[in-house]
Amino acid sequence: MLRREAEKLSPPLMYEKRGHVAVVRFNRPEVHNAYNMAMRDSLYEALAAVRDDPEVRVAVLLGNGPSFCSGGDLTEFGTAAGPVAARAARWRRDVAGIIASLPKPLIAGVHGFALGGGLEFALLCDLCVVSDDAKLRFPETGLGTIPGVGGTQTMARLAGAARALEVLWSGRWITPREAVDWGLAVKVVPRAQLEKTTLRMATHLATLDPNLLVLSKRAVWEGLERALCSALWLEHKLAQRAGVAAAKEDRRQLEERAGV
Amino acid sequence: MKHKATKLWPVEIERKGPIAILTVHHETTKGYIDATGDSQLCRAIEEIAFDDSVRVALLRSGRPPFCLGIAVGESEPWRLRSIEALAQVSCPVIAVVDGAAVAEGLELALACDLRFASERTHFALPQIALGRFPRNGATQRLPRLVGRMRALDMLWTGRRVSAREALRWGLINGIYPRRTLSRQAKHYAHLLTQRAPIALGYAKEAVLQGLDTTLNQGMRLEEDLYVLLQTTTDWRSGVEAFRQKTVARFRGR
Repeated sequence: MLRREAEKLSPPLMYEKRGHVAVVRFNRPEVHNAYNMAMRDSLYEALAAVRDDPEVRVAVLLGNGPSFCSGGDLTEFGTAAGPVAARAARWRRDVAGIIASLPKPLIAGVHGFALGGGLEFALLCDLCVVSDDAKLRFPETGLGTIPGVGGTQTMARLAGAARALEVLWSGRWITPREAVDWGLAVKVVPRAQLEKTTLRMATHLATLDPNLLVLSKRAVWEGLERALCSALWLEHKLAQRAGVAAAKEDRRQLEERAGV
Repeated sequence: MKHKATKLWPVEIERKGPIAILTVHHETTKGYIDATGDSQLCRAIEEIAFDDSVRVALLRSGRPPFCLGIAVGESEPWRLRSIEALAQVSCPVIAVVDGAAVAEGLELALACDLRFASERTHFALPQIALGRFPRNGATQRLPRLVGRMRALDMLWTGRRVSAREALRWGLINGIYPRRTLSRQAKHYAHLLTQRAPIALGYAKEAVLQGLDTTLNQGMRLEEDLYVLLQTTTDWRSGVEAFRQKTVARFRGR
């Protein structure tokens, strides 16, 4: 990974393992964690580490400083050598894609500003906890563009087309209460308890059978893409697989006890 | 610009700059929609669908109810051409619902993108209770918006759903006192006219088309539209205005 000296002292992203929980933190607090290319590269690598590290069972996404993430860094807007290059870069480091296809639970803890891309990251996570000071909105149509990190898709799937369009078009603030009522977040907590609550949730999930977490996540995400009858068949197949794994584990423990 | 169609079921198109307001005057049919009304409404919708100067469209009734659907016993209900025409409109279409939106009237509102309603509004799908089958999208658009259980409850019981309940379900986007409803809707429409019109249309396309496909394909569509927007002058002026901390004036190019 190429990083400037300054970034070595203060990397745009922090990655830390606490037992089976990986904690990923946006770390450009002076600019409300505006998402720039260096951050994108680090996030891509951090997510790949979450995916590939067998010790990690659950990951948490947080923001250092006053905000979760204020979206794409506008100082970098228009620096790509045209739309074709921009599109190629997006698929080379497909951060949204790696989140959407991450087999393990990913939990966002959102405080302060979550704008545009910042909000979209939270919506791509499996669970989201918002603090009572969270300020969420999609500013894109006011900048001549639309969301580009899956926001039009996740928002519509979680809250329905009408609620999605209402906020995508107007760019108005979405309150933490609305976020919970619409199914964008699982709960609102006071600002001071956000990190603790999010980490506690992750630590709890990490005590569960990791195989069941992975299989259940896949059943829900992949099942929603299919017609119901095919999705039920998928659930059946995944349940069988979970059963086989559980039986293997039982046998292993029996053999261990028997000293085989 | 203001023009009126025939006396029987006149549909009025009023322009306030980039906002088109379609007002249905259904007094002569007592709030019901008939074949004449359907074809007039269809023509009005097509007119705004192919007019690039329209950036936001509002659909309302001249007085309550919003629309009671096709009159019972008139004939076997047909597929309303006006509802099909709504699918062609690429800009935001907002139903301003004051008073009952019943049967095909609700189906008409469901074919719009957003719905703002007054407190006295209620919604119902009495067709099945009357031995008819809804054929203008209710069995598809309603469950996608509020979930299958609420949809079947409405379809089977035909019961009235209040504006409050509808708001909680996400069937409507906002609820206002009847005196301010029209103003609030116009205010929201005006807000949208300040934003980039091509981006508004693309956001609609990404959401509606994206819901009909897998998440992965939906995200690819979003990305393609996102990149395509970078070729517009509106995108350049939007980013520029943000940097200069000024307000962008979008021209739809």
